[in-house]
Amino acid sequence: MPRVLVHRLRDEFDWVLFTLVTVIALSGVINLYSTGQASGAPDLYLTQIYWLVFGACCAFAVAIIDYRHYERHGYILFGCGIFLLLLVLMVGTEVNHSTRWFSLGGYRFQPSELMKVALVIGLAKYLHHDPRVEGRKLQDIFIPALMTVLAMVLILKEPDLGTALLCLLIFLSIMMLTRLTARSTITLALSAPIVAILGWNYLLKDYQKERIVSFWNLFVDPEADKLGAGWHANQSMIAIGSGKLTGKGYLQGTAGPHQFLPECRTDFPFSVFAEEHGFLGASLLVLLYLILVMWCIRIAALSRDRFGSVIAIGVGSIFFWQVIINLGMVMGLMPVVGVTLPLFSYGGSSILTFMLCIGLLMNVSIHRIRR
Amino acid sequence: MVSLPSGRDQWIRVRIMILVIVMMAGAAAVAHGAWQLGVTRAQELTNLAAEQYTRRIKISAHRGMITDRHGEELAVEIEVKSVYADPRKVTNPQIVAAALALLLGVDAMKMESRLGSDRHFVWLKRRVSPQIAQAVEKLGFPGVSLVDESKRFYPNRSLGSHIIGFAGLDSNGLEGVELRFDGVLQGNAEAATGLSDARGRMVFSDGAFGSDGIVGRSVELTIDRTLQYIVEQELLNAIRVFEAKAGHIIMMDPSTGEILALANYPTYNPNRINKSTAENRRNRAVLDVFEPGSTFKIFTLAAALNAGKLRPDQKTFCERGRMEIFDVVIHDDHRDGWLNPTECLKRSSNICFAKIAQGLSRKRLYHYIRRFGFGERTHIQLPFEMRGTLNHHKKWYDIDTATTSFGQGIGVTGIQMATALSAIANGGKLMKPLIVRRIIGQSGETERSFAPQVRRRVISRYTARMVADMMTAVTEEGGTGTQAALNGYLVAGKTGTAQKSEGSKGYAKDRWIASFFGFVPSDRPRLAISIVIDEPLINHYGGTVAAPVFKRIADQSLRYLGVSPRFSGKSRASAKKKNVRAAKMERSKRQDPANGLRDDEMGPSSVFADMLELGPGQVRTPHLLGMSMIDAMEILSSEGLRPLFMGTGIAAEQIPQSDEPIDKGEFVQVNFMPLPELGTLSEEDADTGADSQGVP
Repeated sequence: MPRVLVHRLRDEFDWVLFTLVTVIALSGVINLYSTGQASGAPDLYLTQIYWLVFGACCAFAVAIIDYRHYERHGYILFGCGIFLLLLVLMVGTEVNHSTRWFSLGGYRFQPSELMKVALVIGLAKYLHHDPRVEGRKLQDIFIPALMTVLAMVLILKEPDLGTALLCLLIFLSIMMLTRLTARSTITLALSAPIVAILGWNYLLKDYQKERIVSFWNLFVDPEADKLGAGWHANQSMIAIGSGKLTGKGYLQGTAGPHQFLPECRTDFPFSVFAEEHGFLGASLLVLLYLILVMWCIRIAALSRDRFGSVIAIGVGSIFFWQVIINLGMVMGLMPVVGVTLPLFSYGGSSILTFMLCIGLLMNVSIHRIRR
Repeated sequence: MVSLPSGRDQWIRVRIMILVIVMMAGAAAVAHGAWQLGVTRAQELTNLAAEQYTRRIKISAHRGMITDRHGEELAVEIEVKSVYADPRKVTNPQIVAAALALLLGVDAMKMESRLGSDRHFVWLKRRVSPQIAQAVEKLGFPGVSLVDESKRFYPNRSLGSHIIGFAGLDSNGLEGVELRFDGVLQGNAEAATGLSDARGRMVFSDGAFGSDGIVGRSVELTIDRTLQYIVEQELLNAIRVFEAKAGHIIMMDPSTGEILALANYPTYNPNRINKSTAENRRNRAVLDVFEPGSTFKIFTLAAALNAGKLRPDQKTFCERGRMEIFDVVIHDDHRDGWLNPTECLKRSSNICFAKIAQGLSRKRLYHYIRRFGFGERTHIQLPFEMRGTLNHHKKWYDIDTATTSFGQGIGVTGIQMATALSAIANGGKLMKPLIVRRIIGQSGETERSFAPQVRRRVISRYTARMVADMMTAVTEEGGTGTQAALNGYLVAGKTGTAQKSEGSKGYAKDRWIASFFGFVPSDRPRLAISIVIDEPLINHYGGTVAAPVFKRIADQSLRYLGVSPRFSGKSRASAKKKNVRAAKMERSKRQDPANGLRDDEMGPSSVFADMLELGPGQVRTPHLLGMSMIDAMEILSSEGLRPLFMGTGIAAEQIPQSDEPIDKGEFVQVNFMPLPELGTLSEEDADTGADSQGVP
């Protein structure tokens, strides 16, 4: 390891980021232990620990290579993401009516998770090479928009509504950093409903439509459709609510172990956490995420160049939107779209992706000062 | 906020601020949502949650035992397998459905539609035999799994079935004590919350919750299995001999109100509920309302004596067997003249009792009948008890005072009669009838015991003694109940021969209820027994049909209880020897196949074996029926006996019978059988199971 790098790691290591990630990930493991008890898979928390360790190694590797190299190969990395998405559509494994996974000797890997990172890198690369400060017109953001739409279409083909939506939100978040002309903003706002209608008719699968419809029905009549598509949202709300202010206590929850919430490990771990630790515990976890996202913005603001800024903002927006969407669906504020809670949910692809994100952040953070 | 490096567009700062605001707003929205759920709606959602757990836990509740007063098991839980599927994991529904339909005996179409559903959980078949479970396991279809469930098993089959009742497929009590004490037997659902998941697995075995309530508490009955067996056998005997339609017998300890035995005919095997009819499951002793007839005279007599309206030596004129009052003619079987109260009872004169009742006044008669507990529930711990029919005296016609005095125009239940009879036997106290003695917690501690409870004093001790003496005359020379008389014990009793009422059409010509109500020994009563035989064909007199049943039951029971005869020329030892001989004869008779008493093989260990003496180096053969192989093995080895096991499943037969003396080190042969009824659960059961417990 070059001397410079060792010094950088020693002097610039981002302990705040490290601590936040460690606390959240360990909470996730502890929570997973609770859900795993007696629900037929008590050892899942071990698997999760393996993934976290593996992810941390990857993050370390990602962090120590100066991000200039990523900048140089930005489009190639983006292209790799797109290639994996194409590949999964051809040779992926179908589970629950969607083709999202590669099966690799017992492990399943979800390339759409990686695509989020690839998209951030791609967009960062484009914006880095277009360092304008004056307002951009629509045609100026055509290429980043095209990149996003390409990723989204491929992901929707799988189909994976949640991740596609995330790509859109990442794009919009990053675009907030670049200035758009007023006219372009208005045009975008007006075209959004048209895109939405087209997407509903041509892109969404029936079960996705069903989920969205069931969600709206829940607004109109919360009692309806409890056993159908609204089951998860309803069960999750029951779990969170019955935790009350201080919770039932660790290992005392019921939603997970009793399989009232079949997807409690991947999509709904927060319900289990909130049931066992109550409103206060849940708030603490949300606060940790908020600090993490704020820290991302700080890293963005302090980064040495635009590429670093955009990476930090992009990664921050992945975290932010996943937390908001996951908690929203868990609390019945949003439709159930299958988005994991960063670093907390069980799942190799998810953990690996977020660890790569953390690696990128760390990278930007420790390289913020030119030496 | 953060300071930006120089040379950057100030717009960036603004946009970052916007970004921060958006994120703060998002976090605030989430926090608000959490507040709404975790605080504002917490109670409502907690209730919803509780509802789910209690609903789900019912599948898996491990019910407590029901035992007799000596701890003999009457209802136990056994572990069996059930087959379920997660249809979303089933790869090839058609093939799986076809194979399983054949194996489980379920319609293939139904099976396919179940496997094709989009639920997470459907029952394919509840409670299958071990062989089928093994076969399913071997097939190893993905998505098809087995789960341990517990099933109720009644090792004594029909013995005491009307008292015990039975539990349904989801371990919920449906009849008898199983129903009445369902909450106790199931365990506290609230305490068990979170202990068992939707499929019956224990979640926290390390006692995160107190151990109470995981498994239901046990219920100990006042019933004595041996007495119950005697009573059931004798009831069956009488029914067969006199070709009766139905009947019921209650045996009560008059001093405590504890029911020692309660038998009904027809009966049923609670292990095979789907093979029984509602008619067979009817607990007639508590549910059937009948006209008591002459037996009711003892209460009229007690009332008149207690009210001082009849002196013990006061003679009543019998009108030579025919009397007309209020345009109605009352007949007696005998053309008697003047009779004292004892003779009135002994000869069962309707006319005398009509006159005694007139002297008492209708208001007082009604008052005493109510005091004896008629026209109200006895509050026995069994479900659906009937109140009987007793009109208020203001609604009586003039003739009703007369007819009521000899038990017509009033409807009573067997349990009311037995309780009122006990009140005379125990010196005038109306007891609350008890069927459950104790509720026993998991670690064997008494959680609640039901002490004898005096409801009220009905008549004075002196009156009660007098009535008992007069009733004793009934079984003596010249009385109607001589066939109930016992050697060595005084029997107080009263016969009843009632024509069955046909409502507005008056009384049936050829349908009778023969009854006998009595207690023994009459001077210090240990047993009060009510015997009601419904529609006997061969003979219809209470003295001929019911009285001998009393004698046979009382004879065996008193010996079993070790009540020494009061007057007897023989010594106690010789009496006992005689009993042993009688017991041997009795058993050889019972094993005679011509008698056709099939229930013997699973009946309680032989009643009389208790009296067989143990030689040196001998032990009593333990009761093994209904046990698993492992349990049987454990018990045998603890007794120093050697097992000789045949078959698989649950112990169904044992040689020698339990309680019989056996040399240590000898073999005990036990035949095991897979529970036969397990494979025959009806389709409907499986369906309802799937509907009510499926997880969408």
